[in-house]
Amino acid sequence: MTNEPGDRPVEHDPHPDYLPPRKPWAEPYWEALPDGKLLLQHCEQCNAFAYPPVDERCSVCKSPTSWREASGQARLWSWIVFHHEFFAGYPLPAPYTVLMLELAEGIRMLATLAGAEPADLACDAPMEFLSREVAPGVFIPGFAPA
Amino acid sequence: MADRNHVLRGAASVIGVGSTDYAALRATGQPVAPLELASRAIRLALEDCQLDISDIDGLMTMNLLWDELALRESMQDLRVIAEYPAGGRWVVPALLQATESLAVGSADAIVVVLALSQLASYADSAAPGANTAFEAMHATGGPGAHSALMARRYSHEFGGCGAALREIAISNRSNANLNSRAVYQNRITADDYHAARYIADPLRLFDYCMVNDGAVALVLSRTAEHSAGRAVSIGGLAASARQGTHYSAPDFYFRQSQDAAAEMFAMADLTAADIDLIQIYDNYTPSVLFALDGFGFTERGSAGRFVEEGNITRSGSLPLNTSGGHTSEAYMQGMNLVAEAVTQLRGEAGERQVAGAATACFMCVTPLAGGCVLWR
Repeated sequence: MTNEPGDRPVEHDPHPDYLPPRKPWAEPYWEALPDGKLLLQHCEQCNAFAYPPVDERCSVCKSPTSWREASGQARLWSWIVFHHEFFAGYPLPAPYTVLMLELAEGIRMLATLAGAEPADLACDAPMEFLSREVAPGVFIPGFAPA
Repeated sequence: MADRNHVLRGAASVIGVGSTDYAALRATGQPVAPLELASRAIRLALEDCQLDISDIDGLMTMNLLWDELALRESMQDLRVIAEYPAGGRWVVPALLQATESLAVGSADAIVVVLALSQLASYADSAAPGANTAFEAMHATGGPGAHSALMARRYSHEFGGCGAALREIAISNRSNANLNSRAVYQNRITADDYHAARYIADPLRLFDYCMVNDGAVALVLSRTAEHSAGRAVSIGGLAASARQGTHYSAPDFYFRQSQDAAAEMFAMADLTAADIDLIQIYDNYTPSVLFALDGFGFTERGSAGRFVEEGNITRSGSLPLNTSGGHTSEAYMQGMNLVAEAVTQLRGEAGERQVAGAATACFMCVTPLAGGCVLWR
C-alpha cells in the first residue's frame, strides 16, 4: 500500500465488514498486527499453538492459553489466485493471492500474499510473516517468500 | 470391523427414486419453493415404487424442515425422523441411519429427501463461524477455495493433475449430453475448458459445480420384503470424520476415506475391483481424485493418471458420474448421484446405460468422508 503511517486519512472505517467480529479475548492478536507481529495462543501445558484465536481453552488438553509472538517462519503448503471477486467492498482487487502455510509452530494458517507476486511462489518454499495494510489502518496477516 | 455377515449387509434397498427435471426448472427461470420441490420428488418416488404416502413411516430431510414437510404431505404416524443440514457429506450418514432403522424394525419405509431452491435460506457451508470469519478477511473461506489449494498441492506431491481435472469436466458434460434432465447438456472440448475463466487459479469455471433448483427423494425399505422387481440393495456403507480447522486437509482426506472404505467394503464383502461404476460427489473436480485415491480405486497419488487414461469415461473401465455429475447434471449435493446409481443398476439409464452394471459405489470425500456400495 502506498499510504504512509502517520499520513492516514482522518476518516476511515477501523473495522470493515470483511474483518472478523472483534472479541475481547482476541484483542492482543489485533493490536500486534500494526506492529508487524503475529501473536498466537499457546498452551503452557501441552505446548500446542492455536490459530485462529479461540475463546476456549487449549483444544488439545483444555488448559488455559497465553499469547506468544510467532517465529514468523513458515513453509508454503499451497496458494491460489482469485480471479473472481466474491466480496463487495474488499480492498484488494482481483486477481489477489491467498496462501495456505504451515507455521514453524506446527499449525496451518491462511494468509494473504504480501510484497511479492504469484510467480515468486513455490510449494514448500520458506516464507516469513509480513503484516499487510490493506486499507488505511486495517492490517491483516500476510506472508512473503523468505 | 464389519464382516460379510454384517447385519446391515444388503439389509435395506432403495425401492423408489424421484427426481425433478433440473433442465426444465432452469428453463422456466421461476424459483420454486423448496417444500414444493420436495413434494414433487416424493410423489415421483412413491409412484416409482407403487407406495402410498400413508405407507411411509420414516422421514429424513436435507435442507428442509421435516415438520413443515410432514404437514404439507400429510405424513402421519412417523416413527423415525431426522433432519440433516444439507446433503453432501450427510448423504451417507443419512443412508446409514435409514438402513439401521429398517434393519431393526424402527421403520418400514423411509423417505430420504433433499431440496435446493433459490427461495430457500439454507446455510452455505461457509457460513460465518470463528474460523470462516478469519478466512473471510482474505476474501476466501469457502470449500471451493480450499479445493483449489488442494489441487495445486496434489499436483506438487503427485505430478500435475490439471489434465485429469479437465478430462473429468469434459466426461461429465459428455454424460450430461445423454441426459435430458441435465442443466448443462452441451458438450465441451479441451479448448472450451481452457478458454473458460479462472475462478480460483488453478481451478477454472468448469471445475466448479453449478447452483440450481431441484429435489431428489429416495424410498428405502427392507430388502427381504422387496427382493423382487427393481429394488437396488445397499450392500455396505460407512462414514468417517476428521474435522480440521480448515476445509482443506493436508492429506486430501486420505485417512478418513481409507477408514470409511475399509468398513464399507468389509460390510459389502467386496473390493474396489468388484465395482462396475462410481458416483463421486464432485463439488469441484479435484474431489474425484481424492476419492479415487482415498477409497482405494487407485494407488495413492495415481488418480490423475487413471483419469487421463480414460478409465472414468462412459466406455472406460470405471465409468464416473454417468448422469453428468454436479458440474453438468445438477448440484443436488450427492443425492442425484445416488439416484443415478440406482437408475443404472436397474438398467433404466437409456442412452447413457453402462452395459451390465451390477455394482456401484457412491463416495463423498470432505472432512466427513462416506461411501456406499449398491448392487442389484
